[in-house]
Amino acid sequence: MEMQDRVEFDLGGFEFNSSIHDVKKGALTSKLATKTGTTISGVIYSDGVVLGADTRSTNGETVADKNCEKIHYIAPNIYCCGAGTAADTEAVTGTYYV
Amino acid sequence: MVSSALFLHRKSTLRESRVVSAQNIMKSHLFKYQGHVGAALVLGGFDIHGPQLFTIYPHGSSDCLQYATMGSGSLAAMSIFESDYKDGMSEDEAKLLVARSIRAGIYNDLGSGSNIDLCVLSRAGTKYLRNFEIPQERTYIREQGYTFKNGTTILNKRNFQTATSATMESKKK
Repeated sequence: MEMQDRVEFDLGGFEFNSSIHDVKKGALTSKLATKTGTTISGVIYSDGVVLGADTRSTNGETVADKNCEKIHYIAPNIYCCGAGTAADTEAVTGTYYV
Repeated sequence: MVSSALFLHRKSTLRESRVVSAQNIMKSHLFKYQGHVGAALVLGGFDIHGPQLFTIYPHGSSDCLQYATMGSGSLAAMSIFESDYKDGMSEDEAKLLVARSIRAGIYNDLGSGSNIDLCVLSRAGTKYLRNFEIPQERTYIREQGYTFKNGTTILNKRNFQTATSATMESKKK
């Protein structure tokens, strides 16, 4: 069966004509998701919490730092492990005003 | 951001900070930026409610769990917790379990590597165990180092110029 022209039949709902037009122009190229490249974990035991992190910092395929710190200080009794964009984890946990 | 906010809050209230305060500030900030702030966090602490552990995703959602993992090595690390976690572990058991989960990430995920850091938060206080484990230590370091003698590179041309007002003027034109 031949494809129906969607302009002739109003099917209701959303109109996707312009999005198809954009794809043809190459306007809709989604950015690749950023890979975190980290392992962080934590566990609750009988009377406390243990947090853990690896110490590799990567920039794409390149190792940027072989011994970085991913467990951030929040308060004397609170710490936080960060994965993802290093600048963002540092800014969210740190002592700067954002 | 959270560290300074909680510091001021402690000075104002004269009470110990709570883990949920940190969680609230973080998730409202991350939600506000709709995932553009790329921070995936594992938040842990010990406060008036006892030991607490949260994971916070870049879009601002959060979980409260007994064990948590994040990052590209989270699947490898979670496999260790899923097979060997049990309630009411001792501190040493918990430390070894977390170290093992990070090691699983180091060996099975290319984005993770090097050493293992740990942090223990309990009623007794906080212990930050930097480089708790070094699974793959460097086996060989060149004794001579990588310093080269002066004159190793052949010099072809040499040109010195003093910056004067005249040279600056000519640059402007």
